[in-house]
Amino acid sequence: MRALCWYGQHDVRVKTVDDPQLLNPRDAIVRVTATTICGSDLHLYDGHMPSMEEGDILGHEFVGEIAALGSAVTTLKVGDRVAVPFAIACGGCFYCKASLTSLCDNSNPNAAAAEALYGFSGSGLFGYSHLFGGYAGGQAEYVRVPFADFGPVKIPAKLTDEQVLFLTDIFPTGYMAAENCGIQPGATVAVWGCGPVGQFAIKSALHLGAARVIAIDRVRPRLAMASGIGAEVIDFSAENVTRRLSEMTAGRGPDACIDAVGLEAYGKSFDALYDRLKTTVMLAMDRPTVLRQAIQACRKGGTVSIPGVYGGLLDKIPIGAAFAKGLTLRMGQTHVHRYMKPLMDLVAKGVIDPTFVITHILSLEDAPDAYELFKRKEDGCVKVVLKP
Amino acid sequence: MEFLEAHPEDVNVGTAERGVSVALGAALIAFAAARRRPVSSLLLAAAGAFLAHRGVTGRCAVYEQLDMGTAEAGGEERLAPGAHEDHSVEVAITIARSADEVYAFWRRVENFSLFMENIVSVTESGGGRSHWVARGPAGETWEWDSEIIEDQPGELLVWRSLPGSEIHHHGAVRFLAAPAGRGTEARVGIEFLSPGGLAGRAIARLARRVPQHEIAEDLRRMKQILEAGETPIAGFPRGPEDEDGDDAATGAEA
Repeated sequence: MRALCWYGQHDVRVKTVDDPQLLNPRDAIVRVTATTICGSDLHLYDGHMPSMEEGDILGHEFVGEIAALGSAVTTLKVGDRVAVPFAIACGGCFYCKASLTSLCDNSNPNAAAAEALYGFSGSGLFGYSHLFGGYAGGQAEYVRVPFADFGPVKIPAKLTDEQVLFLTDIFPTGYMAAENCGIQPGATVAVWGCGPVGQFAIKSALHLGAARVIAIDRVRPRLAMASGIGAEVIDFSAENVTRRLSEMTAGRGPDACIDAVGLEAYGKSFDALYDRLKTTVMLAMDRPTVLRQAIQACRKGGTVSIPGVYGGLLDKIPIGAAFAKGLTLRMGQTHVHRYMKPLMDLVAKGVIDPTFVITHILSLEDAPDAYELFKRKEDGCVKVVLKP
Repeated sequence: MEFLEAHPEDVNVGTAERGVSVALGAALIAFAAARRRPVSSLLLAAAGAFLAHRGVTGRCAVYEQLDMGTAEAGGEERLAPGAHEDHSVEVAITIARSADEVYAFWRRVENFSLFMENIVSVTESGGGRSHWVARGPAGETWEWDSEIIEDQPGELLVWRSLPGSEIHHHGAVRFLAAPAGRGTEARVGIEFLSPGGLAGRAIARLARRVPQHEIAEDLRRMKQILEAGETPIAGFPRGPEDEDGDDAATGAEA
C-alpha cells in the first residue's frame, strides 16, 4: 500500500510499504477513505518530538471502511464505515471506564519509556512517535486499528467523510478545550491560535454559552475564518495582546483563556526569541510564549485551558501569576472516545457543520506538498483533507 | 524537589554528580527530539530521562544493582560488594478486576508463559506442584519444580522451588482490594536464594540479573491480559530505511 512516512525534520515521503496485518484478536484493518494532517503532526514534521524513527507512518485523523476483523470483534462487520479516535484505548482499565481514554493503561507497548520521561504513560496514539506506542498511522491506504470493538464509531449513511473526519481529533479537542473552561453564561473566552483546533474551540465555546470569544492569531485568512464563525479578533502582529484583551473586557480580563498553539509558538517578543535560541541549541524542547501570555492575561479565578501540545520541560512559566490569581489550569490529550457520539449527533442534526475548516482537498500522493502548505499557512490553508 | 527525593537510605548518587546528571539528562532529551536516525532517538530520550531522574531523586538503579554509589553518607558501605548473595524483588501493580479474578488467573500456572517474557512453559504436575522451563540471558534453558505451600483463594499464594531446582527461590503474591473500587492490588515478592558453595553462588549471581523492571514488565503484561484481553503490539508496517539519506523531501518515489 501507499503511505506517508517520516524521514526526518521537514522530510516526509509517500512510499510503498507492506499492508498492515491483523496481529491481535481485537484488531481491525480499516481501508482509509479520508485522512488529514493535524497541527500536532507539524510538531513531528518540525522534529520537535523525540522517539521518531525513519519510515514511521504518520497520521491520526482518519475515517474509512472495515476491511478485516480480528476474531474477538463482534460489534463491527466488514464494509462498515467508521470514524476512528486518535487515542488508542482498551476499554477495560480504570481510565477507560472513567471516560479518560487518552490515559488508557494498556494501549502503549512502550509504556516503560513514557514512564521514564513522564512518570506515567498515557495511551498509545496512531502515528505519533514511539514514546506513544510506535503505531503506524492513518495517512495511508490501510491502517491496523487495535481494540476495534471499543474505539471506532459507525458513521450513519447520510453523513459524508468530510462531515465526520474531524470527530476523530480536532473537533473533540476544541470541544474539550472549551468544556474545560467551565463556561458560565455571559463568559468571555480568549483563544490563542486560529488553526483548526482553535476554530473548533471558538465554535464550541459559543455553542457552550460564551457571550464573547476573542480569537488571537496573525494569519489573515485564519482570523477571517474565526470572525466568520462569530469571534472578535486580535492580530498579534499589529497589537499588544494583553493590553487589547484588558481594553476589550474593561479591565476584567477574559474569564477563560485557551492555548490552542502549544510548543511551537511564534513570537517576536524578548521571551519568544529567548525560547527560540534555547530550542535551537537544544537546551529546551518547547516554546511556551502563548502559555505565558494566557496566564498573564486571564482574569483572577479564571481558567487556562491547554489543548495545544507540550512535550517536555518549560522555562519561565509564570506560576507565581497563576498562583496569585488563583487560576485553574486544565490540559491533556483529548479523551476523544467520550465526545465522538454526542458530537456526531450535533453534526447529524445540522447544529455544527465541521466542514467549514476545510480549505484544501488533495490526494495522499500530494501529502508531502500538503505538509509544506499547511506548515507555511500558504494559500489560505487551514485544513487539508487527503484522499488515499 | 524535595518530594521527589528518594528515601535517605536509598540515595546513592553524590550531590555534584546529581547536578551534572540532571543537566546532561535534560540536554539529551532535547537532543533526542531533534534526531532523525532510527535506533537512537528513543534510546537517547530514555537515557536522558534516566539521567534526569537519578539526578532529581538521587537514586540510581544501576548503582543499586551494582550495590555501589557515590553518595557521601553510607558511601563506603555501598562501595563494597553485597555481603550476602540472596536477592529479592518486590513489585506491586493495580488491576481493574476483582481479587477472585486475579487470583484465579494466577492459580492457573500455565498462564505464566502468557505474560512472563522468559518463561517458555509451565506444566501443572498435580498437588500444587508444577514444572517450569525458562530461557536464560544467553539462550540457555533453566528448569525447576515449584510447589504452592500456602493457598488462600482470592487472597494469597505462596510458593517455593523444590530441591534439585536450577533456580532456587521462594515467592508470594498477596491480592488486596484497592480503594474506591479500583480493583485489586497484586503485591509480589520473590527471593532468590543462594544454595551455598561456589556453583551455588554463580547461580545466585545469575538470578540477581532478573531485575526489578523485568518482573514489573511481566506484571504489566498480566494486567493487560486481565483488563484488555490482550497485550498491545505496534510497529508495523513502516517505510523502508533511508538508504541514500537525501532523496529530496518531495515524496516522489524513486
